[in-house]
Amino acid sequence: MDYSIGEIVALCSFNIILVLLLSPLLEGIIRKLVALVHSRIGPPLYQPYIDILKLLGKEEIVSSDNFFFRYSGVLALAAILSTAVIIPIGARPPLGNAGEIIVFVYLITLSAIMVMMSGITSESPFGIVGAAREMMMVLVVEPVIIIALITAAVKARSMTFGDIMAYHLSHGTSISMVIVAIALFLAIVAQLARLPFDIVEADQEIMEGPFIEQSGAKLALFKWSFYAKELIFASIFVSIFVPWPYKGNFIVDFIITLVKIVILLLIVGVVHVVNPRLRIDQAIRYFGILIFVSLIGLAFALVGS
Amino acid sequence: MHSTGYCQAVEKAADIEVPARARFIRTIILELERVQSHLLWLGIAGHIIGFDTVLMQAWRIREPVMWLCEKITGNRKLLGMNIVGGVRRDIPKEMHPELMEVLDKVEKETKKVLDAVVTDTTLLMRCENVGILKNEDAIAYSLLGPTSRGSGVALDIRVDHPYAAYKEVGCEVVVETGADIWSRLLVRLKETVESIRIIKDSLAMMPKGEIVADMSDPIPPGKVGLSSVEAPRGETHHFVITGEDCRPYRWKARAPTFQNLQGIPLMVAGETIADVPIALGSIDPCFSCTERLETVDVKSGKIKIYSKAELYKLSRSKTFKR
Repeated sequence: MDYSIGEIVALCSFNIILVLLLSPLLEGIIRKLVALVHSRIGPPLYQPYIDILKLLGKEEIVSSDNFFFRYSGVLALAAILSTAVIIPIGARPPLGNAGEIIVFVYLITLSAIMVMMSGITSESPFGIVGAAREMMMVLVVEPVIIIALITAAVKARSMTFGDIMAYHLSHGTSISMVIVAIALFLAIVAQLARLPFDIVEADQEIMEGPFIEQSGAKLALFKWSFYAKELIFASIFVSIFVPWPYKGNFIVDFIITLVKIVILLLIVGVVHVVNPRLRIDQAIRYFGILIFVSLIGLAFALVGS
Repeated sequence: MHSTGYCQAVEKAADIEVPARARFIRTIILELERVQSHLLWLGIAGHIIGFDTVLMQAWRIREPVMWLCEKITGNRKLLGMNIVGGVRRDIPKEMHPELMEVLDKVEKETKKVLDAVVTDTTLLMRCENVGILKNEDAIAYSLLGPTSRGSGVALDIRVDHPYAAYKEVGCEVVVETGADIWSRLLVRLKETVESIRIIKDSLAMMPKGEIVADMSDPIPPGKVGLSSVEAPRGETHHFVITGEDCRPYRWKARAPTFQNLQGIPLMVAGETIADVPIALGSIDPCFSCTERLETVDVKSGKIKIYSKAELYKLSRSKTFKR
């Protein structure tokens, strides 16, 4: 089932616009859940949209003239949005014939590097500590994501999200997939900077770390890239590891995927709300174990179970 | 806290006997302040390590205590209950059932939080063996209150030098020997439960009678009074010399935070940045009691002390000009 040029352009634009417009709403849902557990009323669901709009209109105060300090927010959001065209959201991804898994990992790392650059170039000690923490987190979290995706790819004998999704849809789950799914879920919690892995920002310790000097539209783009990340990672998780039920009808599948994404993010929210923040050394030890566990999952996949 | 300390110092200087009922009411007020202060601290400590659920739930439990304070004194904070020679308002008998009901609820919920907190393994990971303050250091640096009681120093003015009605109602000193942040957390939580017990007993044992002593004689000048009160953060001392026309000639208060801050360098030596905020938070610091900023040039060893005006100027200047 290949798409024509017109369909590709339409689906690409659809995915990008969807990620941009829908992701703040998902953030709003998580905030509402967190508020409920806190015994608070909580902000309205559309609060993240207002946050972004407000920040976009604010004056910018800069602490540095560095190129990366000014444009890291744009590049981070751009990197995340680029992944929107190669991942499945309800349907087969619009682009992709070869190794998009590798492209995806590079783009995600690019957004993390932009966070680091923002911290390093902000000329604030808190920013530099935040950048160092981000670097350590990336080094331990990304292997888990990579191994999980490779396990799925090994099973499907393809590096394309579309093929992987189709394979797991028709073949059902297996031991290896369950193992790496659990590891990937925890890696996603860390990637989304949710507690207990909210170590990079840690506003009570290093005051938002890499973003301490960011303001106005630059900060808005960073925030938007985080909201977009939530949707992207949740979408990958549900379409590769829990692709059922799949009806074949685009609109029905799209709605089912959205429901699954919301449920996954609600679980992330629950993990977020019942945990304090870990220290960086504790988190690294934790993910060290997770890398090992996901390697076991990969080994299972290589022997065919 | 401080008003009790000051009134007691003046009463000691002028040799005024406070009526028993007033002493019991003072005890109740002091303990209500301790309960709300410890619950507030628990929330802040949770917030510092990113556990906002603890913050929200602890402050939700604290709210009925504030309501109690308002019911008894008319204010949520700064209760304005003490005057030299006694207290300003009585706690009438009709109010007791309502107070007891709220206290029962607070006690039940505090115990629930205590259970939830002590079984939380992630919280334990962040607090255990962090911010170590050895027993001998706590004694050598004269640290006070829950900070030293977490290191196994059984110091408590309420027991060592009983004031108000603590002799009658009794008070159990909570001591933990872990010497880390976890112990200080446990001390504060257990003290909260003990405080609620003291309030309930005081309400039940409160004798009938006047609430203000006979103050018809003027306070003689040139007398010296010193009183100590166990504040939630540690012991507080008030020193008063009486002057002419029933006015103080000199008055000096010492709050516990300045003393406790001296232990911070010991607690954070060799720890990571992530542990510094919670180690600092574990003494329940009150920076308004110690306001003073000092910078030390590491190379030359030169010390500069900032004045209030300089701090204002610094806080208003921009860090970077284009």
